Amino acid sequence: GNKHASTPADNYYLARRRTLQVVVSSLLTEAGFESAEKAAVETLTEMLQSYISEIGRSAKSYCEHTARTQPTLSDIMVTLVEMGFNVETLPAYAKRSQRMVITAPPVTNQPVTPKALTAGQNKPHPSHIPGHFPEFPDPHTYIKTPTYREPVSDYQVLREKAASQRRDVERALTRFMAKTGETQSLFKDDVSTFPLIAARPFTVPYLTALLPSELEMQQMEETDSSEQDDQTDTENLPLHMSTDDSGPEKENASVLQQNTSLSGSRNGEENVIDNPYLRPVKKPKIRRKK
Amino acid sequence: AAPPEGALSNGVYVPPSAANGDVKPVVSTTPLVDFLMQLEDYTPTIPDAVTGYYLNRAGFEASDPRIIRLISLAAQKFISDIANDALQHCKMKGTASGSSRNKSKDKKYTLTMEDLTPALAEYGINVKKPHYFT
Repeated sequence: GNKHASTPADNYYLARRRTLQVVVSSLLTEAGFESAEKAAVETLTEMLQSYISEIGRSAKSYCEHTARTQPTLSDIMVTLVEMGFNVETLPAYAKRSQRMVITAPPVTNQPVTPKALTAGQNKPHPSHIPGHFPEFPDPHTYIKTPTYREPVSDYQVLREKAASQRRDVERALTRFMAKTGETQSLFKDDVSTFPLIAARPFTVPYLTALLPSELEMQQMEETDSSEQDDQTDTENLPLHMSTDDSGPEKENASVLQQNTSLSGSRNGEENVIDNPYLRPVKKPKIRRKK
Repeated sequence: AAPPEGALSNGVYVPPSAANGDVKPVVSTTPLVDFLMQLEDYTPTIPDAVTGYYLNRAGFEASDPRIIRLISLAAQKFISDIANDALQHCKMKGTASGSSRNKSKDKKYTLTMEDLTPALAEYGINVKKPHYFT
């Protein structure tokens, strides 16, 4: 045996082990031995402990094999037979050893003391779990705390964010258009500082005010004819609507639609929610060709 | 008289091939059921708490304390059978050479690993303890 200091948890296990050793010693004495080697006693103690554990495990397995939870005598019978134990001799053995010494006293209850590393209260056992089962682990092993911060839901902050985002989007878009299209400049010499998108003169200037924007066209189309098979482009619809106009006006209308379609999202937004992230989802147009 | 073939009399089922005495009848639980009743006031050497502790560690939840006593008795018998076999080995070694006739072999038997190892080998348990050089 080792002379090192053992924790209370070790003592708990050692106490029962020592009882087994006493039992083994008494059995050896009964068999006729006066003394024994330490290694031999240790061997037999280990065998005894492992024998009991194996009977328990195997009996439990047989019991669960038949869809039960409470082991019965039959389970233990089958276990002992499987382990090569001659069960018929058991009553004879019990009667023979009536005269044996019953020395081993019952062990005092030494529960396993908690270690210093426990953090937090362990969850207590539910009622259907027997008491001898180990405890639940520390709560930090299974409690999940999210690591992300809650998104800001303050109205003012959100409005500010939306407004600044919108302004950035507008600026980026206009600069893109200025870079890729025709530009007019305010200053005579410096062209690139403040490019303005060149204004294209319309033949019919008031046409934009009369015709609905693309977004409105889409909404009208969805509410009126939601069961139509062929969904034509909304660019075509203004053409149909303005069929009574002259030809060049049709071209202008199409050009207008294309112009307004790029910035139409902005004009049409006055009807709907300002925030581009809060806009309702636009389903993609399905074109079915006949 | 041997039990009739294939019958289920007194709880012992005899397979049809056992009539010639080669095969022993299958063990039934009837004798042990009576034995279990006798265990009510019987206390084996191993305390119930210790046996119950080791059975709990294996997952065995005993509903009946007599079951625990039965298991502890079985384990005891297991160990004492081995001890008896080791004693036989010890006695054989002692009187093999035909030593002193006046007094019988000294009553002091010491269980050593040399006696235990062959006794365990008959059970199929092979132990090989290393020789320590201290």
